[in-house]
Amino acid sequence: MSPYVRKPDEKYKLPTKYWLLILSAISTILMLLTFVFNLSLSPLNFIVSYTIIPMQKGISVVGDSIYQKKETFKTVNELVDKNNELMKQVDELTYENNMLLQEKYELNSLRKLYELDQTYSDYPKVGARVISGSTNNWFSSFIIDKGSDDGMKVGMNVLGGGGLVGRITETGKNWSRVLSIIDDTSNVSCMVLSTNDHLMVQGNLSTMDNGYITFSQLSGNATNVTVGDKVVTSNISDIYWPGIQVGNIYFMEKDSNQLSISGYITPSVSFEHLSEVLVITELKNQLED
Amino acid sequence: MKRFIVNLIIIIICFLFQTTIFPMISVKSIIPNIMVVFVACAGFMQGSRYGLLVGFASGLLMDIYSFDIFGFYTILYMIIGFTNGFIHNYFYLKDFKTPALLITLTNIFTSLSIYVVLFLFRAKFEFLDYLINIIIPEIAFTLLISVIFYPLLWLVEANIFEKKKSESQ
Repeated sequence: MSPYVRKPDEKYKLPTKYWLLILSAISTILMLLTFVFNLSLSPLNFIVSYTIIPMQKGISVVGDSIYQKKETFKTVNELVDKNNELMKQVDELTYENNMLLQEKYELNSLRKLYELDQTYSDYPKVGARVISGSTNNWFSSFIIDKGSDDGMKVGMNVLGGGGLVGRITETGKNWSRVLSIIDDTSNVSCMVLSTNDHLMVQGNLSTMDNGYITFSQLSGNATNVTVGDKVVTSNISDIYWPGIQVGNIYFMEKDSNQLSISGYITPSVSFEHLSEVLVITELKNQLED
Repeated sequence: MKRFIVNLIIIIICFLFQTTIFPMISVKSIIPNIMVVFVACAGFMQGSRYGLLVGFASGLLMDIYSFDIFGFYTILYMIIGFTNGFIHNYFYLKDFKTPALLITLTNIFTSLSIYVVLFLFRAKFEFLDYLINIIIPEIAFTLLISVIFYPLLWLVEANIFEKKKSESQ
């Protein structure tokens, strides 16, 4: 920094280091305010809703259409083979579906007897498009194109590709942020479908690179649980509706305290190219309000 | 004033790239950090004052968008822009070696700060995993993108502001 000589007609400028201090102080105060008092930043969110979000929506629509164009350029042979294969699969599935339908009628009648008529297919759902990813490589949250105007609320469950994706953590006018279950800060209370043993599923950045997330706090007495078992959200969770598929157990190991089991889970949703998600428009803890 | 508007437009373009276009072309879900590249470049191309302001604006945008601790990126990016400004007087536009070094150093600093503040404080000690899986790929990818991005910034600087033009010809 060289000494700065001011000419008589020049305006005085505050040295940059003071600007740094002032702006840092403002940011620190904002940081404390938002952290301690949970202050919402709605004016800033409002600005974003009208500037960045519309542009991102546009880009994501164009990007998706380009991706779909790319798909149509696959060779005809490939498509014919695929078609034959799929037709075979359709036959198999039709047969299987018939069997399942029969069982479903039976199940429904039995359910009626037990008055347990709510399953997760009954939750009211609404589709949304993913318009923007995370801003860096450290966190896995994303932005969807529906916000408080469309009835989105903080805490709503988000599904996609047959399993749990995450929950809404912030809503703007026309956008919401979804924290995915593979994020390093995410915890989901789950249970093993076959045995109803409870466990906690945590997102983990360092293992997600190999395609799995971690679980812990599975009771050491749960000896019937095996590798490959389905894990679904538990009925004691505050936020998540019960019975939504999370993934399959990939690896398990007794902790050094011999009381609990922890290990890895392969998530059932592929998070790499998520473009559309479903939001359950009913909050689990709505009744307590 | 012209500088403010041009900088703001570049920040928004970078942000849109980082959040919408890079995730589409990401390799193993690693995206390059173009925001950091621009903040660092603004620092050494335009001086501490503009580096600071660009850092403030882009950090604020990141904060609104990404994490619950509001203000973390704002401070981090302001420091990056400000510090890179010290090189401003010793810096030539056409030479890519110094900017490449500065961008890499800045990226390492950003990644380490994020790891320490947002991960180490939550008792996540697997630094080596993060280094191999995230930090190094991100730095490599960012450097690759900045090979394309830096000449564009250089063109903006030379043609719109006509600064250091004698040097660039």
